[in-house]
Amino acid sequence: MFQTIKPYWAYAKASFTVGFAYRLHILFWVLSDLVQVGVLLLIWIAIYGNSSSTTMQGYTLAQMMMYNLIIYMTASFTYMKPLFDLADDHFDGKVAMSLIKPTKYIYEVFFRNLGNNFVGNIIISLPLMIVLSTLTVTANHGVNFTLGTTILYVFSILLALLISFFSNFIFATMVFVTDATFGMMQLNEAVVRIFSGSLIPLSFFPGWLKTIAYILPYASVYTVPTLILMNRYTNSELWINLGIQLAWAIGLIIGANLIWSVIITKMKVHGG
Amino acid sequence: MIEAKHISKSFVKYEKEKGLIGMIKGFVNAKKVIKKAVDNVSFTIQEGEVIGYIGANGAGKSTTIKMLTGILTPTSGEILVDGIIPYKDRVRNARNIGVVFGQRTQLWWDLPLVESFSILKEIYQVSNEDYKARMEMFEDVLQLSEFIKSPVRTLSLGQRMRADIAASLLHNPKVLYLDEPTIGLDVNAKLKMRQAIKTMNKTFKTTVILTTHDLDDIEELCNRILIIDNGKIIYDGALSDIKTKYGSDTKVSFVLKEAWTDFVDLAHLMEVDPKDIIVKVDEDKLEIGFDKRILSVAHVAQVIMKNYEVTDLKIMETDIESIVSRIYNEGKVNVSND
Repeated sequence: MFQTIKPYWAYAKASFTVGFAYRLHILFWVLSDLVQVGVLLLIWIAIYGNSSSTTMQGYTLAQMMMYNLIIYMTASFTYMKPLFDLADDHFDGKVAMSLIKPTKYIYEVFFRNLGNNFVGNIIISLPLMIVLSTLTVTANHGVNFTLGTTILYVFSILLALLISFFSNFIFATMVFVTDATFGMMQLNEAVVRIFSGSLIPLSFFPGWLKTIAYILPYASVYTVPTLILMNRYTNSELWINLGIQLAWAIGLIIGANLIWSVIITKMKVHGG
Repeated sequence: MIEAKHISKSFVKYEKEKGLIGMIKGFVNAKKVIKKAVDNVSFTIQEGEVIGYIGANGAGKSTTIKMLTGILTPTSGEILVDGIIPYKDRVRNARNIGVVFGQRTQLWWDLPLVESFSILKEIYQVSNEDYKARMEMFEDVLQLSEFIKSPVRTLSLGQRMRADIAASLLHNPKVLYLDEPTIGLDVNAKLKMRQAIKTMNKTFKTTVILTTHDLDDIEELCNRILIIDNGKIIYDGALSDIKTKYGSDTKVSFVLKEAWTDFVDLAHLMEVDPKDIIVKVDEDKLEIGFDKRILSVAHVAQVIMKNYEVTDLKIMETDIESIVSRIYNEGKVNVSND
């Protein structure tokens, strides 16, 4: 197992090195996201300020703010955007250079993304995790990180990482079919934003919308790890959700491989 | 080593009409056109051979290479490279091959060159001793050390190509595919490229398949050539054969003082059969193509200068492109006044 994974770490190392060399890109991307989170927090303050009750769907204002910060941290821990890779490789025919290597393309792209993901983890996720941990210890926000929830969170994040990558990979393969990158990116972003719970907690959704959200894999990427860390699941809910995550991860890995094996036989390689 | 049996590859293209209305029409209902890029191609290549694969742009060279390397799957036919079907067992095949696409790079654009090599070392699982030995060999032939610490994006084309060929040879492949490896290089860089290819072929018996537009590449490196045109192989054989057969084609072009208007029978003047010479006229420019074994340059020049006032003259020897088009046009070679 270790021997077969070894060549792929080289891709992760390479994209980590490149990503770190361009860390200003990531810094600006972090800043723009932080502005968005800031706006969301202000909106929640306004909503709670105008409400007669102090909790909504079981969240106090402090918990809601924690929710937003934690789901933001979860999003950057699970940040995988193979669509950029596939669009780039497809349009100038770079995919040819990947296909002459003794490695599988899907896993090459996975490890390339993992390298970038590590850059993001070092710059955003880990510092944010430390800040949030200190917050929960020093101030009463109605959220307590325990060792147990933290370990489960890490485990859940690992599954979420796989789901995030392979679901986005399947989405991204459509670039090879439709040639429409920008539209696909926008659609992907919009769907993820709404159905992952990163805009508002899914418990705020009406029943039918909630059903759609739980049919799609994105809740497993964002909402499940977040709620695990916030300790909002009962024991049985916890294991069911981890089970669903595991099922998604396995199903999507198989699905992505199947779809890719069909696309690769029909592929056109652009240029010379 | 390499066996291709009746391979074909067709692409579906969507043709769109011109203009805004055509664009909208094409959006809803584009015309489907099937283009055969490679059409029933067969060949066998032995270990250690150096093959020149030539043809005009768009003839199907790159598509064939992409099928041999496992990037594309043939629409029909079969390929075996060292006992492996490349498009079915791509990863295993990739360990045996090295590829250079002259128009692309497999190096990491933003990283220092040496980083690219160490990444490739890990991807191909090259041992430390082998890595060291090969880097020393590359140093001898390609002189990489002068720019090995620079980011790839800062290299000149010649340096980058040298680096790319080293990258493709790092894992000592059995087969090396070179798709226009000398494109855009200056004479010096070309010499270095050829030297590297020769050294690898001699030392490791590496089988080399090379596509190029440069006759010198072919002459320096290849013992056998394949010519492809419109997706079909139109010649497969020794380079020497084709040169004795077609290499004697010569063209002499004259610039006359006055436009050529009298349309005399030049073949008659030169005392040859009309089908032995090709005459092209464009006002005061007169171009005569012929076979050096039938007519001498001196005789042609003499005849023309005796009858017309010539202000300039140029002699053009055969290049590979004209051999290709000559083979393709075989039978249609005739006198024409156009």
